[in-house]
Amino acid sequence: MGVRFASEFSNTIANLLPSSATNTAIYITPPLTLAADNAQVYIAWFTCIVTGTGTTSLVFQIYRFATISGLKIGAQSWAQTVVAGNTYLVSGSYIDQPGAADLYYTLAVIQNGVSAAGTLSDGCLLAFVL
Amino acid sequence: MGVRFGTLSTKVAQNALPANATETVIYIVGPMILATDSVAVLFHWFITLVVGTGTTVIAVRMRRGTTTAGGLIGASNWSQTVAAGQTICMAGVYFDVFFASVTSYCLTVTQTGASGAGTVQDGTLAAFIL
Repeated sequence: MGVRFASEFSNTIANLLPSSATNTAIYITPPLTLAADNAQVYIAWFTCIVTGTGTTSLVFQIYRFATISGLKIGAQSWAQTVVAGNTYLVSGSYIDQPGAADLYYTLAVIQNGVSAAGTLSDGCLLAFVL
Repeated sequence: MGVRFGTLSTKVAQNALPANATETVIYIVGPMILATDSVAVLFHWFITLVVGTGTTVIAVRMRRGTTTAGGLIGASNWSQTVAAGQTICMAGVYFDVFFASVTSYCLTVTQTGASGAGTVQDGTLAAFIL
């Protein structure tokens, strides 16, 4: 193979879902080596979640860097209305144009209304340079 | 176009959903020629189906190979709570790192609790070497 995309990915759960509506980092990519120009980064994510007691919606967000204090990617949070105790597959994709080198990405979730922790059974976060 | 990346895709359903909870191969891609190192393969999958009578959960799995005996991709099954008769769209992304030169991949569906056949209406499975 002659060429490859620069890419990083993870299916390692960074933190379990809490029993509160706390913004929680669930997947973090290793640092992605970027060209120091305006290269686009394609980000794709996937989760399989059993919603906890009381949960009324799941809110997903992606951040630059390895914590939820990083810059949020996207115009707003990505929310889905849910029923407590059900199992959901939720996935998405987005584009970032950070213009910086060596960047982590973090996928985080908030369980609105939760009073007992949900379960993240599987998922992943991928980022690759276009 | 200067370069291309190894890709495979299909939208041809291999089997109809049965009137029971048997894991059923729906989409197959491959064989795919991989580099013999730790190359990552990115999957995008999508399926829209009408849920069969009695079904309470749809479980989707990705497997290496072309049958339900192949190795499971991911930490667990990917399940979604459903109601019989609903039409649903499900989609996801995942990756595999496989130290082998040639393999196929398949997407399977299980209708937990089914007593009537469901109907796959459309979908796709794409595999893309990063």
